[in-house]
Amino acid sequence: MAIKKVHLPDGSEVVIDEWLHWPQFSTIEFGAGIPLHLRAFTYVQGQNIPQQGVIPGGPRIANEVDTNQVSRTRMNHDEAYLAYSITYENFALSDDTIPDASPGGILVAPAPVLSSQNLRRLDRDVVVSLIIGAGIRKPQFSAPFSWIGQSAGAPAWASGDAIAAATAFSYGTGGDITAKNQRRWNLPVFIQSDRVMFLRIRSEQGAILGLTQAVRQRWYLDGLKRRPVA
Amino acid sequence: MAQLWKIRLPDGRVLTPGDWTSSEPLYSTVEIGAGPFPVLTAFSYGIGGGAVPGSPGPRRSTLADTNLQGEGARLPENEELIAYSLNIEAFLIGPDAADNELPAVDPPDANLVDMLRLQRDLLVITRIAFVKEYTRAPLSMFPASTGVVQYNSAARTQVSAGVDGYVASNNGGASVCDGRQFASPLYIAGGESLAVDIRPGPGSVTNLGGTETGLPADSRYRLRLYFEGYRRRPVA
Repeated sequence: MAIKKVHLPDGSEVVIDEWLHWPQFSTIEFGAGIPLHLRAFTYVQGQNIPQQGVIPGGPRIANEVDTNQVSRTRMNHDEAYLAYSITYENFALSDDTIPDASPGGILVAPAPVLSSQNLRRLDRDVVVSLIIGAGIRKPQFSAPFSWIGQSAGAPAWASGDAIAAATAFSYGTGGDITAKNQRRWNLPVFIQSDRVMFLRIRSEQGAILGLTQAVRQRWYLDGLKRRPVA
Repeated sequence: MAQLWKIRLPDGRVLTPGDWTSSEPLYSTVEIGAGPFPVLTAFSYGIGGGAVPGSPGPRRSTLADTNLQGEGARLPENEELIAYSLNIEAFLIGPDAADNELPAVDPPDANLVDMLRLQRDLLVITRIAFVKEYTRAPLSMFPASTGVVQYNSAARTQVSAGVDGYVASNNGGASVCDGRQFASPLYIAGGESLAVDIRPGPGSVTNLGGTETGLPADSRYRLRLYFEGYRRRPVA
């Protein structure tokens, strides 16, 4: 339990806060060929990760790199959050191959590499919404996936030639991988203690057309967190 | 200790001299191999005074591994640090696995699939005074802001005897401006405990240097962690 207020002998009251830069993150996983509709920040470590479609490995229990959320679908009662940006990372869960590959297949994006075409398909079809408050339908943030810059991840430098005989390669990132590649909300979004919150990731036109890899997405709210003192 | 801590002026006032610099990061190294490990802790040893966590042998630390003075695991009494950034760079140590999902790279370049695996599976936890955590986020949230931007034309690797191309990577962008700054800087007082834990969420970096289909994981990476900010150093 956090110390929130201290009553002084003279009757005055001091409110104690500790605010810290603390990215809040949560993971979802989805396969190809499904109308995507998942919610991140809806579970804690030890519970099932939200999944949809065929996922290699099947259901998975969340560990500490999947989420640092401490209560399901809400901000904990002794915490609060001031979000000023959102970003993500992608990890493919299955390989991508060129459809008309010669015998043996021409590998173009081995997991965890997500091909540039598949990322662009997500850009085209997926809409991301941040919902705060029980029963609230108006998102505090909502935009197509392509609007959101990817500031965390691995850049790549190819050798400029086929990586092996008859082997092509493809990899995509949501813009340049740099900490500055995330849009700063000039009016930050405040998530009060105990307030319901989740991130809705949805393909608005049914199945994501052409998607050929299963995908893990780790979503980040970037901002300041108020946490317990003592 | 031959050091000026305080100067008492004739009128009774006391001055505390300090030499603050922002030109020198505080850094420490760990090595990540294939297979399970519970935690590897950076800043847990001083220069020459301890083994590099995770290194084979283990390897005795040098100035290339850390510039932390003293026995480690705490900031020396006569220093202070206000850190506004944590940057982590990765080097492939030894040969890349020939059975990786992508053709082997020449060390110390990092193979893209291994870099993604490290980012996917490693958590970075900063502990100050061993009371609270001050960071708890995946590796990718602490971009290197160091490294090499490559401009290639039909380059091939030495490890493949000039047969294969490659795809090299890095923990985030390689430019200074690619680093991520803390919105609220971290203060570490002199003598205060300091540690950065590198922990694998699934128990290991899954398939590091191997394949998703079960060929052995066998690559090894060196991670060097930098705190950038203001450091107070001993005077005289």
